[in-house]
This record gives sequence, C-alpha cells and structure tokens, in this order.
Amino acid sequence: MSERGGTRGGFGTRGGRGGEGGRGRGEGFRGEGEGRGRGRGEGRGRGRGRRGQRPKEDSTKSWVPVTKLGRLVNDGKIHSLEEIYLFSLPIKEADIIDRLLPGLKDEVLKIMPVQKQTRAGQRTRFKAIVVVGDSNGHIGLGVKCSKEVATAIRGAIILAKLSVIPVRRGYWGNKIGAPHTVPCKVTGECGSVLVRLIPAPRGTSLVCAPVPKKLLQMAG
Amino acid sequence: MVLLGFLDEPRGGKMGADDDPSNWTISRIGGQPAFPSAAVSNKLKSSLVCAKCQKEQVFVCQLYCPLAGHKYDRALYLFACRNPSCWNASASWTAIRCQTYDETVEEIASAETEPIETIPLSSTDWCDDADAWNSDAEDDPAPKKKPSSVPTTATKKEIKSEPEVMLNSMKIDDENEKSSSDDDSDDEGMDASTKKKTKEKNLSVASSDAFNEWKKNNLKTCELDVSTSASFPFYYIEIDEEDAVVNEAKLNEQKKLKKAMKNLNNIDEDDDDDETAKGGKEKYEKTPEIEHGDIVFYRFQQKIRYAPDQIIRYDWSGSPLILTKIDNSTLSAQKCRHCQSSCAFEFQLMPALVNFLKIDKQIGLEFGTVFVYTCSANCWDDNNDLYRFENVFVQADPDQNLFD
Repeated sequence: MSERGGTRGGFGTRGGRGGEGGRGRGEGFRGEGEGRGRGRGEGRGRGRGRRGQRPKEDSTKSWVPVTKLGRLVNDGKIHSLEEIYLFSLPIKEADIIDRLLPGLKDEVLKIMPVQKQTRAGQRTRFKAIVVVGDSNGHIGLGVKCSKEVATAIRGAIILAKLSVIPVRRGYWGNKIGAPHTVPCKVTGECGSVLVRLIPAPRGTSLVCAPVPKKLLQMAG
Repeated sequence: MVLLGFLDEPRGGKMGADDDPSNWTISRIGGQPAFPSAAVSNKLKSSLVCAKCQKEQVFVCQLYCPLAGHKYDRALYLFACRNPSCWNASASWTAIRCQTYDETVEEIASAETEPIETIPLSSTDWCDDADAWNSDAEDDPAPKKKPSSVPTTATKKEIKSEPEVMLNSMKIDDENEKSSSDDDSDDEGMDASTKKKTKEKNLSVASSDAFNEWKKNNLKTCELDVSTSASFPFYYIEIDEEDAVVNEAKLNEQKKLKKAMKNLNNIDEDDDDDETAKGGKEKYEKTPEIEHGDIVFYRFQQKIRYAPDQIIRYDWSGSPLILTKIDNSTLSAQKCRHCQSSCAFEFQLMPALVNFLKIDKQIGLEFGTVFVYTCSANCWDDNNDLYRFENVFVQADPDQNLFD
C-alpha cells in the first residue's frame, strides 16, 4: 500500500516533519505535533514541504488574479482601462493597472514622519505620498503610513495604482491637433487648499508650484 | 497554525515515484476522487448531484487531513456544480468526509480533552483585527508565537492543544484593543452602497444596454457545455505553514528593498527642515479610504499578499478569512447533519484556485471563496459509515453582482 499522505504529507493538526527533518524549525514551534516520526517510520510522509519545489522567487513575478475582473484582464478579454471606466467597475487589484498601463511611472512626492504620543514616549511612523501616471491621461495618488519608509512607499504605490483615474484634456482655442490643456477652468478644494486649473495656449507649458507641476506632468 | 496549500505538479509529474492517483491519502485537485474503498464511490454516485439543478457534480479537490490524537485516517472531498447559474450558491456544493480507523497511530492522552474556547467574534472582527494605529497588521506575529513557553520535551502527555488556546487568548486581547470598530465598518458599508447608487445614476456614462452587450461579448458563459462529464486538470497540492511562507517572503522583500533604500535616503535628506525631522507639526491622521471602498476585500488581500498563489487555507477550528462582509452568526450556527453538534471551520478554497479549474482553457467553475465547516466532534460510525456529509459555505466574488 502506498504511504499515507504520499510524500507531500497532509493537512490537519497531526503531522510533524516526518523523518525528513524539514527545515529544522525546532520542536517548540510545533507544539501540538507528535515527535518526529516517532514510532511511525520514515515513510509515513506526514511531514510537509518535503521538497520546497515551489519557486519562492517566482511567485512575486507572475500575477495570480484574485478577483473576477482580474481574471478577465489576465485572459486579455479587456483591452484598455477605458472599458473598465466606462462601466464603473471597481478596480481592486493593482496588478490590473500594471497590465493595462505598461508605461506607468511612479514618483515619491514626500515622506514625512508623523507621531503619536504613547505612554512610552512618541511613536513615529512614516507617511509616504506617491503619484503614479503615464503622462498620457492617467493619474493616481496614493498615501500610506507605515513604520518603515520602504513599506510605506510600497503600500503607497499600490494604493496609487488602485486610484488611477482618467484625465480629460481639451483645447484653449482652435481645435487643432491633440488636446493639450484642461477643457475648462476647474477648481478643487480640500481643507483650506484651493487649486484652480486654467486652460492656456499651446506652448505655455505648466506654470505652477513644483509639486502640482510634477503631478500635472505625470497626468499629461 | 494555518496551513496553506499551493499548486504542485500535475499528474505524472517529474518525480514519477510520487505519482499515485489512486492513493486516497494524498491532497490534490482535479481528476477523479480517490476514495478509501470502491464501496464508497459506488454508494456516493447517486448522491453527488447539485441541489439546485440536479446535474452531476464535478470533483474539485480532496484533502488528507488527519487530526491530532485521532486514530483515524481522514480525508475531505469537495464537489461542485458546473452549471453557471449555480456557481456562487452554497447549496450546489457538497463536502464529504471519509475516515478509516488506523491502529498504528499513537493516541495522545490529553489532546482531545482541552476544550477549545469559541470566542464570539463579531462580524467586523476581520476588518479590524489590527487596531487603527497599525492598519498593516505588520507586527501582528510578534506577540502570538511564544515558542519558549510551548513544552519542548519529548513526552507526549505534555503535547496539548496549548497553541490553540494561546491563539484564542490572543484574540481576546485584540478585541479589547479595538476602538470604534463597528462604527468604522458600518460607515464603510454605507459608503460602498452610496457609491454604488451614484454609479447607477450615471447611466449617461454607459447605458446598461451597452454593458450587457459588452458582457455578452466578453464573458461568454453561456457557451460552456455542462452536459459532458468533464473533470478539472489534475494537480497535486503542496502544503506549507503560513508563518514559514510569510517570514520567508518578508525576508525576500527586505533584501529587495535594501537596494531601493539607498535611493530613499536621498529623498529623506531633501526634507530636512527642523519641523519635519521630528515630525513636528504633523499629526497622525488616518490614511484616506481606498478608492474602491471595499475595506474587507482590502484586508483579505493584505493577509494573502505574501503568498498570493495560495489555493487552500487550512485552519482547523480556526476562523475563516472572509472575502466579503458576513454576519458571523450565520457561519458559527451551522450544525452537523448527522450528530447535531456544532460545526467548526476546517479549511477554505481561495480565489486563486479558480484560475486552475479550467476545462478546455475556459474557466469551468467560479467562486469567491468557499468555507468548509466540519463536525467538531468528528462523528463516525465504524460499522455502518462509508462517508459523511459536511457543510459548505460559498462567498461570491465581491463584484459578482456587477457581472451578472
């Protein structure tokens, strides 16, 4: 009879590393398991991860979609981001944006430490603000707070990708060539900050403070 | 201790010696189920029909999962209906448990006697298992594992279900630390619904006719031929502990980020005002909501981000990783069909599995996530029983209603 559980072992709360020594994680960690293959012989195979063939490095490269929309994008049934915007489908996986906008660039605008007062002093975390855009009509902004700078940046990039939005461009005067500016005067407010975008003739380029300039350049 | 299942080799893989499709003690997906005896499959054939459409069900996966201190070889089988109209319904799935008595397994004296406390989890528990300050749940593992306190001596009597008790007590602490969890998630639920309503109002953007057209062109579910009794491609499952996988992934991440950190240092120097250096006037603010508004799904993603290709998540008498918001009482109120004792969560199928359930290159079965709840007493009658039914609960993809 073939060995129980094969060489891949089984699920369940029983089963230590079998006789293979596994990765030598130590007995303490496996509290509830029985002793290593005690009285059961090597071939029992209740151990786990006997080969570790699962390519650990590779798993980050290829995307395994989790949502239905992700599967559709992965299969190539959706060709552009505009189709998703057209039907207002929520984008929940950042890899969808990666797949549909290959020319996406990201830029970290600011990393600032923020603090919280605790009994044991102050607790500092880092807030990262990242903007992603392809300079051709798509822009996204992500803000993430985390204990480490690198983690905050990564998280912010993902949030930025999830919030990618299309940018409408228009003309200042004659409708010649491709759109190059905002279609009309628009104003946006957040708290006490007011931002006003005004169409300008071709060739004026962006006249604004450095931060909005970076943002608008990425938008196109 | 959570175990994760990953896709391994297909049938007839590289290591020929391991390839044994008829071994019922191997965990795998697809192909045909391997039962402990032919009598089981004969008796089961008639009962494996979908409760909704009465069509024959297709075999999804089998797991070999013996329990600690339990003198049985135990396996679970999952069957589902391929009919697209039955896809996300719990009633169209069937779970079977088969056990055979195994003399050779040594029984642990006190393993079963430790009652596992069932802590009543609120429906928002998963949303806010980390307090608001630490939304990443990054330093979660630190207090939970206390390897030094777990007995490491060889005597079997000391091996109890202590880690489970410890883990349960950890959950109590988390509950106390939570603040305004219910309010937050309620607001988020409201936000999501109001967002949806405003989307429906914007019919001028794209008419529902256009959407239906698009759906017909792209989804093509009606072309699936459900009459033939096909089976999914055969793959073995490789099993790993979640903690091991996560730690390893974190290490890899850190290595990669070290390079990126050099660039980051340059950025940090640019903002070297006195104010920002000490975080001066910046107060802590909760980061803004995610654009799509589905925070439960976001938490789900955060949990699996270190191993996104996991297909099975096994956590006997643990708690499931929910995909969409659900009232916990519906899950915990399930009762065993045979002995009426309460059911405990055993394992769940992850959405990544859908990519591998393909028939003729087309998706053959869809779901969001599937929970399997089994009898907590593991009722079994040695003389009469060949198999027992278990409870299945299916959660659909969070946006499934948009695609229907």
